Amino acid sequence: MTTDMNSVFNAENPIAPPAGDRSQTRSTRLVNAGLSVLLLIVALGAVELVSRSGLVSILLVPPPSAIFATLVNGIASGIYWEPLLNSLSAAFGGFLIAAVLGFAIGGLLASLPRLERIVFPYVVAFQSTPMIAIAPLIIIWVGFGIQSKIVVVMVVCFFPILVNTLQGLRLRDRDRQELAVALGANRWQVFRYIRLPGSMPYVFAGLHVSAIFALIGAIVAEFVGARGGLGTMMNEQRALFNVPGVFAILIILMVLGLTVNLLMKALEKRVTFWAREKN
Amino acid sequence: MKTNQDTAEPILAVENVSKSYSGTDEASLVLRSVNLTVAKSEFISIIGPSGCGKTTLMKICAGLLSQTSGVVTFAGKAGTPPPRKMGVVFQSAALLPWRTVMANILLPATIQKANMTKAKERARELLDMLNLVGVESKYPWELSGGMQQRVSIARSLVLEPEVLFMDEPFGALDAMTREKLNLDLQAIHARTGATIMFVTHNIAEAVFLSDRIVAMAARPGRVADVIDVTLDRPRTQDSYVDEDFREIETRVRNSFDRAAAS
Ligand SMILES: Nc1ncnc2c1ncn2[C@@H]1O[C@H](COP(=O)(O)OP(=O)(O)OP(=O)(O)O)[C@@H](O)[C@H]1O
Ligand SMILES: [Mg+2]
Repeated sequence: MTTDMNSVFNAENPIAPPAGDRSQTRSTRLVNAGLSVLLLIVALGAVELVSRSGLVSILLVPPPSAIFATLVNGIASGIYWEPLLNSLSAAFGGFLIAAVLGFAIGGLLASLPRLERIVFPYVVAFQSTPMIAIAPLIIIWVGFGIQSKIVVVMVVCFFPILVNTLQGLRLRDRDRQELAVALGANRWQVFRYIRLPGSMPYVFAGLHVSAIFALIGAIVAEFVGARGGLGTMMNEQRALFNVPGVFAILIILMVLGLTVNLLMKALEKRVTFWAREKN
Repeated sequence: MKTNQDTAEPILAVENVSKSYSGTDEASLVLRSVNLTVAKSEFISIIGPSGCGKTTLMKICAGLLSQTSGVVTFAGKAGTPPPRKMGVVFQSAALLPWRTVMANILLPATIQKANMTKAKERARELLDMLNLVGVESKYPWELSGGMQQRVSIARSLVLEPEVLFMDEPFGALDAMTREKLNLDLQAIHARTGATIMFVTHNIAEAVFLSDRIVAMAARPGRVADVIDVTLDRPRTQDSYVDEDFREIETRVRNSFDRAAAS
């Protein structure tokens, strides 16, 4: 034990710093990417084998090759386009309204601290509630059309954007505040030149989370009754026990989610490049 | 070139100013009964140990902090200089990371809605003087600490202020750059006739630049001594080895020792 400790903490035997991400060379990264792909192939191959071996019903666990064939056929025949556009436009529309409302109301509350203190408990309460649970009610109120989906998405996206905007605008950096006083900035100028740009990392973090929520919101609204879209299509496939069909739509949703994630990341990086570098 | 305290018109006066950030008892005082007058176009340095209240005093004079008691007057009226006439260099550079160097320097002009063409011209002169040519389109976080500090100096000078508050502006600079900027600051002072309140830790720098040096003592922060610097201007690199220069340096140093002993 003692000798172990000695050899570890010995000056002649320095502990090599752990290789962080930064120290990864190009070739290591390439190898890692290769291993990731290999992992996927192995996993899919295992499922394929299990499925074809007859250990489980092929109806319940379809082989990946069958799912892939269903997906390719579906894309070729164009059956996904209409539902895809339907879900996407609901998600995008609801997200946009939530972004505008969340940002505007966030800005308003940040500039009226008294009002903010009054409504803040409710904001926290709503934010802690899984708003998606309100989807069935909204469908009862608004109906089965695309409008109800937009409202569900809006409700789900609104609070993260509101809370993040508020948090960003509420930041008080003493140096910057004193700078503003020294420069004789009025309230509007403080907002325009200091607080608003300073809040952007928070605002964009909120938008990023909400963009993912928007997709979830649209699909869940379709699950619980709103007509049209990929969620409805998935329900239909499920009713027909077409498990490969369900999986094919899941894959589309996954690709969609990844795309949204990448887009938001790129946008965030463009707008708040300075925050990344600073921290 | 010498300013005479008795005849020169005071532009800034601090009367009986005390400050505490919390509490009202004697022990919580950061500044106790500070009295100080600054003449128009005077260069006054504030020097003292870390934590003695130099920044606090400067911020009260600039209207960025309010005093607990006492009065600050500017140009004969209670109050501090209007932002339009004032430049401030903060101890931390306080640059906005989302603005380029040029946009940071122009911020005072933007906020004061000043003539932008003129401000840009002035900004270029300052970039040149402060050895910042070539970095105007970079962002503050791409610069070294010393460069950031120089950018904040340029920002404070872009509107040619009548009163300049500088809180250890050369703290993050190497000795060579520091000496060059001391010469530049002296030239700016001579050319613009600005009133300058300059906080520093460096005795030689204070002697080189100042008309008067305010030596502060700590706990509570107070004025320990005020030393007139009667050296002729303009001062040059040779001034540092001048006998009179050495003597004033010693007087400043002694005033600290006395304050520490008492
Ligand atoms: N915002 C604040 N709240 C509470 N106490 C403060 C605050 N700012 C400064 N102080 C205290 O006031 C005292 C004087 O601080 P100040 O920053 O004026 O010192 P300084 O002379 O400028 O020091 P340095 O040379 O290190 O910059 C210190 O004891 C500090 O702890
Ligand atoms: Mg200080």
